[in-house]
Amino acid sequence: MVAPTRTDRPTAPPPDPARSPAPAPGAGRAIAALAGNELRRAFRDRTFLFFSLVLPVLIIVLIGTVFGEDQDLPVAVLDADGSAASRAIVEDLDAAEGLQVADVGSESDLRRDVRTGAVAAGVVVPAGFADDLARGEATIELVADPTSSATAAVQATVRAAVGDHAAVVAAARTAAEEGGADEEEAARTAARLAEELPGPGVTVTAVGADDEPERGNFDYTAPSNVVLFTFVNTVMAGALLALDRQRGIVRRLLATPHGTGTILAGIGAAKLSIALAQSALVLAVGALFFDVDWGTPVAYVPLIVLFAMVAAAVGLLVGSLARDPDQAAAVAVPAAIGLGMLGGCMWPLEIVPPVMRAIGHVAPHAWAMDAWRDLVFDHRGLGDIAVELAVLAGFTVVLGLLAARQLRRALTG
Amino acid sequence: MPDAATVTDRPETSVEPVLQCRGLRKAYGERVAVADVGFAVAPGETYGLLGPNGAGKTTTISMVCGLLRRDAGEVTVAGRPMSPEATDAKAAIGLVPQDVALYEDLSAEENLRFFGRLQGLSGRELAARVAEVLEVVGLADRAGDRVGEYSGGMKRRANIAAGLLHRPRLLVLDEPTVGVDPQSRNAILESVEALAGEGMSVLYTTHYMEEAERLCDRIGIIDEGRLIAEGTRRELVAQLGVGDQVEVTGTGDLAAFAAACAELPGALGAEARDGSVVVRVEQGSTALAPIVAAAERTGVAVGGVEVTEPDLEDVFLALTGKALRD
Repeated sequence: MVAPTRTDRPTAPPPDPARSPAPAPGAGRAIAALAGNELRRAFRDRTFLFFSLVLPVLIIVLIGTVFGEDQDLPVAVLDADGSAASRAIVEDLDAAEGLQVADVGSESDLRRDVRTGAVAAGVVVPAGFADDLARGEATIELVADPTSSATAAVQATVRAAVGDHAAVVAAARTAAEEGGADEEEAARTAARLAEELPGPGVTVTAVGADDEPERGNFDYTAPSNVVLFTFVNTVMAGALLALDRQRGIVRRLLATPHGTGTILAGIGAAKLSIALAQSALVLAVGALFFDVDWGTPVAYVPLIVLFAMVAAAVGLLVGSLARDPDQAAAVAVPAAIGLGMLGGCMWPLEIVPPVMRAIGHVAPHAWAMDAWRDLVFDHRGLGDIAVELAVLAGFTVVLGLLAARQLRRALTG
Repeated sequence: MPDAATVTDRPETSVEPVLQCRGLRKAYGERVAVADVGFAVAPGETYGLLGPNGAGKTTTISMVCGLLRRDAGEVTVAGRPMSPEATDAKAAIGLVPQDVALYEDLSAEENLRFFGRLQGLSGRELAARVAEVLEVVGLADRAGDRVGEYSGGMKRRANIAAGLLHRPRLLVLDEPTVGVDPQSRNAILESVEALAGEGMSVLYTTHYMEEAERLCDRIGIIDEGRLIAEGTRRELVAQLGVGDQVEVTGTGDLAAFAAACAELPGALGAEARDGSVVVRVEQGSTALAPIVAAAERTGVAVGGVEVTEPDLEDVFLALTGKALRD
């Protein structure tokens, strides 16, 4: 590069010594300029785009697919009897909900498949099963890993199938012994009646199954990832304030014709704009590609805005307290993920003990997740999440004031 | 060491100064960073704050620019009192921080547009001003490149451009040449000279004596938070009372020659050394002819003459007992 010489350098119009300083531009324009600049930089940053858009969507897809689908348990069956009764048992197992039955040729194959985990369990119908059944002494061997959670489910299904057949055989035997009927005919009649007659009047209704809307695979993972990633990315963006401080950019901002409050508000608005953009992206992707029904905008918009404000306040607090960007990042990431875990973004707080559930509500995430559950699971409205919104507003005020106070102190001494 | 109170009272100009500071003080706990600092910058004047690292220069200009709350003292810029909330006073200042305070992921043009908006510029005026200052600092052909891709010198020049956008009454430059190569440094100094030549008032902090001597109409020497001397370069050197040094090399009766020189008008002393005579005089340029005449009178054959003026380094050494770069 050749530096221009003084003689060829264009000259800047000189200042007019007599003129007064130009009137300061409005605070609103300054705040908009700061927020717009932050968004422009964020959406040009591939790392930010990956962590704010690609990664949340990947995790929503991954977790939603793994835990959202109803999967049948694979069960290996060896019918060593080959009788009508044993075939009926196998057919019943095959038709049973939740099991996927595969025949195997030998007991050693069956044990190998169970041992290697290729199947959840193995069922052996032994030779002589039909005769034993007639004598009321039939047994079926269940081969399974006793520590596996699938064992209980398979065992219950097998017991039910065998029990049904034992009942038919017992009824036929009673008819033959007490009424002199032909036992085979009695057995056919009992089997037909067992299919036609209604059950003993016991019905099982899953809580909410009838009166609640159907849940999609992503109804938990999508909101939890909105909350988790909005917080993580916004706190990280806030932590970058430490970098702007270190580089002197914040000093330059404060030297522009605006009060400290306007600059603080502008920096806060910049971080808030990141949080809102992050939330909007995941919401749009969730609705468009994963069929997530986020509920009514009247309710979810204030929820998103308030949670974004909480995240921005925490980010500013970290960014103003940290000595440098490294320290800010070292604190921000673990804290953001830890609060996400505590607040029910990794697993529902319903499955943790009540004490942990109460402790979890120290994190704003828990309140946001409570509200999202009301909106997404129950399709409730604004009034139903008023308490959660009020708590989030409280978080915003307290953390926002702390951040503003600390930032003002860090910047202007 | 002169009394600091006397230097703070100095510049009484007929026109209203662009910047007036009185009794500035800032302490961090027990440590006093700036104590009773006062100076003024007249319209069109380039004023230098010269001092070593940690002397209090940046703290002083932070209070001048309204970035830092002062514990005591007053600052007025273009007649308006300065504070962190004083938007009208801040509008008269263009700050060029010591660090390259620009977004490295944005181009120079994008940075300037952003800071220009914060200065209240918009539309065609903003576009014109951005183009103008890019020309001034010689970066027009690289305006679209990301600042992160610039050399150190180019970053510094872009940093200066951001301080010029709104045509400030007072340009404040905080050590703008630290860490740049000689070529870029020269380009920066030329830019400052050009701006000053066009009538812009400049407050320039540096710990490079030669920059202060080259650029500044008046210089305030600051050390350990106190302004210990102030004036033009010549005034500061005159405070030393040691005068210029004229060294005459030659052959002959050097002792007699030294004795004759010591008797000359304006001579402060003379000393014969091995092959030369060193004469201390009030002003070297006017003493040359009488010294050469004295050599002829005493029969000394002059081989060479060298005049050395004391510099600000000598002033600083005399005032503080330590070198400027300690």
